[in-house]
Amino acid sequence: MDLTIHTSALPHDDPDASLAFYRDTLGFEVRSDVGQGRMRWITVGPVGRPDTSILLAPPAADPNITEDERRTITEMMAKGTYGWILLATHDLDATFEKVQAGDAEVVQEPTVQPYGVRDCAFRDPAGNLIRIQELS
Amino acid sequence: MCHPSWARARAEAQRLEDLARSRGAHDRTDPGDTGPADVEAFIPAGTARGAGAVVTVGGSGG
Repeated sequence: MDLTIHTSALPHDDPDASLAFYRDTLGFEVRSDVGQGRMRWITVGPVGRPDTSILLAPPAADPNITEDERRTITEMMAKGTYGWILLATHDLDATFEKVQAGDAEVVQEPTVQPYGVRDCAFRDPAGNLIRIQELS
Repeated sequence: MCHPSWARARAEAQRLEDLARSRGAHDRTDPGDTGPADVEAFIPAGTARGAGAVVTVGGSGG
């Protein structure tokens, strides 16, 4: 087996706002951008690291999702209990400053957690929790 | 006169806005519960604990 973790998906509710956050605030490059309106699939990832990507996708696009399920998903996204991802960096403090300066919603300033990780956290425009941890 | 489906859409949009606002307020006052789960709390009493028994991974996103 030769598997890599290639692409993880996060939902958006405003494709342009999410694109701006990942490109301008996190500094990711845009690798593809297909669809239109709210039905946009945007692939972004860190410059110089083409092996891993995040796909920003419309939530509940599967036609088998019921109207009730779709409402629950959009409410959980708004509430901030739906999507989340863990990123990592060697310089947490500089990263935190840059992301904060980009006007992102701060959830947690750099903090050493009881389980040993030092991390901070933000919300992306769709309410996904973006946790960034420090690499030693 | 407003079409019933517009009224529903407006009510839903309002609800989503309220949820997003309360998310921000909650994050500012209590960011602690958005971290990885307290893995040890899920281990049944009497089970051996320690570095080998507990893997610290990201837990609850909520």
